[in-house]
Amino acid sequence: MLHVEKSQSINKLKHFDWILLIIVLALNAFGMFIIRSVSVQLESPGIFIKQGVGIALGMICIVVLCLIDYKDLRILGFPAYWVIIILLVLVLRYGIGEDETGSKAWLDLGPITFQPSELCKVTFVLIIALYLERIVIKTGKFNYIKLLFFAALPVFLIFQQPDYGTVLVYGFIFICMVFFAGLPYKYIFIGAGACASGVFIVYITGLYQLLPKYMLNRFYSYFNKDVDPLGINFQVSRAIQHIGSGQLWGRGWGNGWAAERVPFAHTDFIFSVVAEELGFFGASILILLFLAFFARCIYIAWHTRERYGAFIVMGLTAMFLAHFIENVGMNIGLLPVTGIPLPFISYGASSVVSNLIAAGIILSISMHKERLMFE
Amino acid sequence: MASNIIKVKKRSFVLLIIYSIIIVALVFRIGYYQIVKGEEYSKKAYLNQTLNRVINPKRGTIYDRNGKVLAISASVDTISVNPQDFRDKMKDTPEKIDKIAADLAQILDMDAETVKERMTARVIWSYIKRKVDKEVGNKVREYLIENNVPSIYVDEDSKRFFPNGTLASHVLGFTGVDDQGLNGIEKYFDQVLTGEPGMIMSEFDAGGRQVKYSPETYVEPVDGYDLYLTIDETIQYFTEKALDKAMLDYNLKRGAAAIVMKPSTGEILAMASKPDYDPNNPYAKPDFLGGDIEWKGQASTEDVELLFQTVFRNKALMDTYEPGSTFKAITAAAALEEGVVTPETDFVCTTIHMAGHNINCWKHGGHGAETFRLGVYNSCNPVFVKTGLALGINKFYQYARNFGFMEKTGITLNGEPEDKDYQWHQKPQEIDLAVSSFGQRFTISPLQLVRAYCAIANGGNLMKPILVKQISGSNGNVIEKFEPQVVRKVISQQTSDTLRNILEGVVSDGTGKNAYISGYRVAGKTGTSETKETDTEGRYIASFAAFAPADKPEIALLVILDHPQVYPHTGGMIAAPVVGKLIEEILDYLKVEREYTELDKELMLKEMYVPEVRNMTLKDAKAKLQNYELKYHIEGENKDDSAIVMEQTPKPNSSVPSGSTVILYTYRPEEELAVAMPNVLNKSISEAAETLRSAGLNIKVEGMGYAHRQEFEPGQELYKGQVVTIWFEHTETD
Repeated sequence: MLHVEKSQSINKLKHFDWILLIIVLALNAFGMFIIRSVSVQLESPGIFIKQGVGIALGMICIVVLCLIDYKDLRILGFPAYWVIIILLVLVLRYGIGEDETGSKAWLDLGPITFQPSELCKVTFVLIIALYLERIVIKTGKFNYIKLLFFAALPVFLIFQQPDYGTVLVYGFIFICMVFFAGLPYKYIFIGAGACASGVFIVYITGLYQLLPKYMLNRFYSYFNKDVDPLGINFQVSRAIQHIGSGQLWGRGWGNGWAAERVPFAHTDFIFSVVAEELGFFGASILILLFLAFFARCIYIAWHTRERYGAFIVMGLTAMFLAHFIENVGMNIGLLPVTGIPLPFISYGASSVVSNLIAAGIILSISMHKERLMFE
Repeated sequence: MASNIIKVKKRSFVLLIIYSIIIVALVFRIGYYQIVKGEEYSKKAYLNQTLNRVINPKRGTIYDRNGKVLAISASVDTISVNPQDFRDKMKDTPEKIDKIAADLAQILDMDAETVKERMTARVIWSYIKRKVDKEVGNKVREYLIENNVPSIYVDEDSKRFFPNGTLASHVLGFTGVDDQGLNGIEKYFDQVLTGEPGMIMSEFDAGGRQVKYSPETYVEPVDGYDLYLTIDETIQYFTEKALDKAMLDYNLKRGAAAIVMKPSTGEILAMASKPDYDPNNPYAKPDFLGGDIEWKGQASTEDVELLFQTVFRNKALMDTYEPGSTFKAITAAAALEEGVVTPETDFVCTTIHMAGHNINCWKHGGHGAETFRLGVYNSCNPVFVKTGLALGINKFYQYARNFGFMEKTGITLNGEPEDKDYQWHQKPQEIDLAVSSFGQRFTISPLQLVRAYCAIANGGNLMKPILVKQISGSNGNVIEKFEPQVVRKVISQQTSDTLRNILEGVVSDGTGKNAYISGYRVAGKTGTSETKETDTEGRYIASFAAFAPADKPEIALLVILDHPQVYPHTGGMIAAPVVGKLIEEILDYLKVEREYTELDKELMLKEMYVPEVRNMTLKDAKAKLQNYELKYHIEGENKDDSAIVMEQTPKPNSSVPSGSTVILYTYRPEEELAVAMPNVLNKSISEAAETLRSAGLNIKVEGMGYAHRQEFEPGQELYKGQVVTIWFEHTETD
């Protein structure tokens, strides 16, 4: 059976990372502030209320997760992982789609829709962290194979939906975690080289034509700004126009036009609303909040003496970072458009709850982290 | 172990640095957009906020086949305002705003409050009034210049006019306030008719104020293309007039529909549905609406829905129905083509027992022994059941499919019924075949039936219906032409010839007699269809499908009278006369020459006016009457040629058939000689004429067939030589 070490500390609240909690609360407050503006402009108060309910649910999850010692996740992680895998299989059969990609990523649960691949990122991190730890401390058998198997299974299922943007996020998380765990640089360079030459070969041989049409169109739009088969460049150029017109101080809360004129302004393109209404000033505050969040997470990883916890923290941090960069990047036309929301800010209950669960796990780790005897 | 921890710490540091670099890069990029290019984007965003004034292109004109205008856009003006700019410029003289509002309101016939509201709204674009006449627009222009009013614009716009009002309203459709086609051809060819909008672009600063002295850029609109329909305005008018009359005469509960098509090309010459609407004012309350149906006005959703269910509904295109006996022509075509019958094949009309059902003929007691030809003339159901069974299920349904009854015709109008609307049996049994062979228990669309009759008429080619002949540019150049298109060959020329001959007989000697026109050879078939209301309300659909002239068809047509609330209600009794008169009008208009048969000539009694012969000598009077092909009879002692005619009956200028007798009196009669009116009811025209002649009376004939009404009761005393009107009618129909 698994060997589980328990923290002996009695006054665990002493170690609770209040700073991270405050940053998370600040991000959520920022999100609610902007969503309020959008909901007024779009005349749909429902999105504001639903977002509030999502945050409340997420907060409850944080409390529950802090009551659990994260080390129990070595055991709890497996059933959670498999439940999510089953949900992913169900999505393939009963899922519904919400965008033009035709990918069916949502489960219809009556009043709300739920996207298992969001929550799956968290369980993915838990399992990868577990096997990386075993590899590093050299216990158990076939750890490399198991690692790859558990990593590949959800990725394969999400690939079937198909939701390639999310697949890329999984890749990024995996690479960050493996790098953090201490993979030698030479392997990293070999891997990077292999990827680059792979892309090159696919490009030269024309194999990319096997990709789905909407994906090719996205790449095509990205590289050819003046043709626009999907209306994506329109969406992005609109978003940039509104981000730009925010200028230094912004048009003021509720005075922007992006909410009504940029498609998906309340979800994927919420950053354009932030930048237009609050200007460079407001956008910078938001980015600084994120920077503080990442720095604090890395700080927690740094101070977690026990590898499993540190791996989880770094994995979840990589997840947040991937979302943040991709989302802001596509809002300003730097990266191709995928359906990835801005963590804590974009409207969407699945996304908010999953993000808060991830934050809750990090908080739990900060609270229950092992203090080394010889420190 | 320790080294491993150090490695982990190092790596987290590396990741923190990489993350930070990426984030800083993002911030720089955002800063570039917001601070360096902010002003520019801001302006762009503003411009996108509809500050460009759109100039609507002129919508294409719709013509009939002879170039007569059916729908045209007239140039009008639209008055709009940039309130933000307006308020800004009127900042120093706010008291003038009320004055301007009042003045404009007067010119535009509006409420001053409304005008002021629109001029000062917290938006950057608003219409004061759309689509006003040029005259009014020019007055506004003058006013704006005289009083130096800023930020109010008078721009060209266009408005749709339908000069013929309700004529062909279902085919043409109508347009909305933005000139978008909402129904009929206007909708189907919306893109073609619309053209491309032009634009007046002005430079604005980030606050939405027009930059001073900046020139306005004018992008010319591209006008829409014109359409030439295959519809003939005159034929459409005849058709609608006939339907309007039928609506009144027969009190049609669910309206009427008719289609006239050219068999050789598939061109639709007329397509009409009743009730109809005026496309110039489509959302007006329809006349037929009684007090029990709520009408909200203001083009409310409920009203529009109701309109689409009633007056907007193109029955001729959309309303599927059971064809009834009109379908027998298709069964006959299949049977003749397959050789399972010839016109002379012998049948006996008997009740047919099948799968527990009795199939009777419409005529009580049946028709007895008859040839196939007579079976068609009599519209005898058992003959067709036997014919259908001889064809077999496969062949019968194959012909139904070939004749286009299971597919869309592909007409260029929205709303053609889908495949599922036709309700053909999925796995037909013999009993289904038996009833289908005389047109029951499945539905078709009127257009499908006319098209099938066209194929019978034109030698066997099923044509694609054409409604639009040609798309033209504004300078008359042809953009696209729609040529006649044969979908498939369905029967041979020989079968077509035979069947045309039989169907002609239906009109000259069979159930279609009421469609007979002397001089034009009409071929056709009557139909009386059952509907869902037949069992409960005793209502039917009376129809008549025909083509003419039978030997060289110029037109094929179908008239459907939905739920006549009169008796008799059969196709032969009420639809056939409508079709007969309509064919006569159309063929006369098309200048098709009449060919009289011997029978026609015999029956035809030329109408003429009795000339004035009073105070003439008998000699002169006789000569004059001879010229008029009239006979005479002299009353009086003096029959010398030099005697003076003192009185005559009929009186001058009364109309009588040629060959009638004029009584000439050579004395001044106290009273003209009296005779008694004989009974001529149920006599044929020639018998009636003979009876009256021998009684000393003259006949005036209305209609064909057998006398069913006479002007005077039998026995009534009349003057000798008086003209008596007798009405004739064919009574034996299905």
